[in-house]
Amino acid sequence: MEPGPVEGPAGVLSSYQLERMLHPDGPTGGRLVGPDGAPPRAVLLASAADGAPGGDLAAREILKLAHLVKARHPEAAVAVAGGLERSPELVAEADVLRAQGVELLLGAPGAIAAAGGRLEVQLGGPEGVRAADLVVIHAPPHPAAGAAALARLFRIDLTRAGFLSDRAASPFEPTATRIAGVYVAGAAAGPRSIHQAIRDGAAAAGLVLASLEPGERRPLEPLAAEVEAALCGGCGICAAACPFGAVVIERATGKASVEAVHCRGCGTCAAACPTGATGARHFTRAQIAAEISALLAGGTP
Amino acid sequence: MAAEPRIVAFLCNWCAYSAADRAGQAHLAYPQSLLAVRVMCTGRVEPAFVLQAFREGADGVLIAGCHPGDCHYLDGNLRAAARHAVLSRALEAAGIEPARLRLAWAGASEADRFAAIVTEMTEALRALGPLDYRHRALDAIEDAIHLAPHRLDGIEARPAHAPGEKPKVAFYWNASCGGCEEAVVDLGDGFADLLGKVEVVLWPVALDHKKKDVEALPDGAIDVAFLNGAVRLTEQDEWAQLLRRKSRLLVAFGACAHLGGVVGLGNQALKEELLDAAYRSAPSVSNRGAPLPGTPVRANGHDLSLPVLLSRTLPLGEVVDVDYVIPGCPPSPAVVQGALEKLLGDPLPPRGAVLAPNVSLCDACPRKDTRPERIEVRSLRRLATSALEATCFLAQGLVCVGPATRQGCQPGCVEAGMPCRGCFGPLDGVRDAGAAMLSGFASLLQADGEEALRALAAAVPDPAGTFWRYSYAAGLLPARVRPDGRASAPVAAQPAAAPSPAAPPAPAVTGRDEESAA
Repeated sequence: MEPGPVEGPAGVLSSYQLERMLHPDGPTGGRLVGPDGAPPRAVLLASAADGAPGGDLAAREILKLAHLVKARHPEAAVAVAGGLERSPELVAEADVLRAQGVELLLGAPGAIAAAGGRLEVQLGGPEGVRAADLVVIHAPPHPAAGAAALARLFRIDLTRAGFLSDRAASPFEPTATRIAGVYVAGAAAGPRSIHQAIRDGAAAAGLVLASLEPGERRPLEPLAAEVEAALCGGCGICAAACPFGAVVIERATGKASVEAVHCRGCGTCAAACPTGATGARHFTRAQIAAEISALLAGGTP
Repeated sequence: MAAEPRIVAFLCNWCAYSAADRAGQAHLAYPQSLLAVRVMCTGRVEPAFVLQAFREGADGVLIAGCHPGDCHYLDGNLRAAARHAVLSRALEAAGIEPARLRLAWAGASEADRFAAIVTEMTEALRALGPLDYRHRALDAIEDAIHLAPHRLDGIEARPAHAPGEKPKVAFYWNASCGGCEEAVVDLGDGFADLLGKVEVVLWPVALDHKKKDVEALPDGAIDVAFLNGAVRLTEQDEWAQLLRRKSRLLVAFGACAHLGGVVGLGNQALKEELLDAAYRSAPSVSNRGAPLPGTPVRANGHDLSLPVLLSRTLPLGEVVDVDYVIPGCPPSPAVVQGALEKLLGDPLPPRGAVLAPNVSLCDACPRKDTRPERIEVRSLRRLATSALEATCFLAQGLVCVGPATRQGCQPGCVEAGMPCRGCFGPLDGVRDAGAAMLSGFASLLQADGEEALRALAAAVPDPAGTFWRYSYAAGLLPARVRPDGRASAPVAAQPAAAPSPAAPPAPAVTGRDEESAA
């Protein structure tokens, strides 16, 4: 996972930059300073990840930072924009902030412009333009640079945002992917809190260990698809159609082959095959065609 | 009272089948119109199964599975949705209303929803009336074909080829463009060799033989007759019967004789619409009295008539027994040369063989090494307007029919930057080439969610014309259903001066005709 980029005039910081600034070992020794080097009189914090994957995590991050800023600089006017406190899980934390004098604004942040030595932030809704000396934005994080290559290697999906997808066939296998034996834990699957990441890791480790039990047998799907190599032209349509990555085109032969351990017997590949090379055991073309004929030959019910 | 509509329902094991089971246990009332076929996943349903059901008498087909997101196999149901979206459009070309093919989602516990789907669909089908595909689209031809004077009786009793004599060979053309004739000449040096080895007894494009010369030959006197073109006219049927009777081996030469070819795409229109367009309504046509072919006309003291147009295009194999097939539009010189050697040699290939390799084009494709490990089509591109690379066409979002098409073309189209269009036809054992490739291509479509997937499927250009470009007349649903529910009347029986029935380009199939349904 990589931090999302935040751009703007001097005085606009990403949430990560703010964390760094507040750190005792940071560039200012933990003091909050505006672009002019003086402590800011007004600080506005907002999430640009609202509605994106990890949006709740971003909201939590912004509220935490608001709390830190207010604790360090009680004299500064601190505001949080974007209606983050509407999230039911964050109501209590928002109430604490409100009691400390942090202003909670509804409108989501828009354009930021420098004007007269301050920053003017366009907020959505009735809020209008707000002035501040320091604006802190939490942008949605990006997947790590190698995520797509890793997904291709293991034949697993990417989420819309480009993280590794932990979408599996069964909800009883958290962190499992559509490829048996491949698990995704922590921030590889998208923004995660430390708690979530640890839970993911423990779940994945547990599932892996459970499958390595000495004497444990891997059951094979009796309905697994099969390929008649002589009829296969190696077009790759079955491999593309398989939800589990169980069909591959063998490099050596150029023909499709089914990895029985991964196949779950749905028959999607058989229906997709344009030459009849790929078939579904116990649900063969001939069987289903005969079934249709027999049903319709029975006359009108 | 008309019979209840019959619905063939493909139900996924985990959701729809369970829902149906539960509806039964709960004694929910729904129409008895359902003929259930259980599959593990709606992803198993081949478009060819749907076409088969309609051909064999279903009034509707239901494909029902788990809601998107709940698929036991992640997204097998989305593959079904993509195929359904493309297939529905192809069915419209055959006059089969979209309401006859329904895709629905019902969870395992949704017995009431399942019963409601069946009830609703049954009511929609009652309103449409019976489909009766066989009667309304296929049977019409059988009346017309009986016009042919020659049948196949006595065909087994024919003399063996006389040793020492040059084999007698005939070439003839039915409904074709003439490209197959050129394919013979394209043999080059091989053509000169061929002429040295055989005696040509019929080749109207090059030599002056008459029909009566062929009729004068003893039955079975021709060793090999190569007949190209589909059968679209009574006269072409007569020639097919004549050459069958006179030949030891009859070879369907080229895509039109093999599968109906491009000529077969005319089956998406009714005969009357074609005649009207060609002889009456086209702006450039001047036809006093509006007679049609088959109507006798008296001119200069002679009675003139033209052969009658059959109600649909037929591949040669549907009017006579065909011994071998040489595929292609046109067949490539290599395939023709190879076939000639086999047919004039000994032993003969197994009867009925298609004389080209039984492997799909992908295996011989010059671009095969550019195919990605997992092909995904997320947007469609057009050949004429997209900047393309010399890589796998499918991976670039173009429809290439190569995966479903037999090799043998030395792939000229691909080498010229053109995706395969399927002229060599399917592999052995594939009943419907168009349905097979439609399923294959639709299975590659990927989008975020069902709605976006359907939108992508809706953009696949002309499914009937694209996937069945050469095989429409040989498909499971090879002709348009007649809206009036009656078999085609012989054209000759129409009054010559009567204005033709209005023929819009795509007539909506109207409601059921109580008279014909009774």
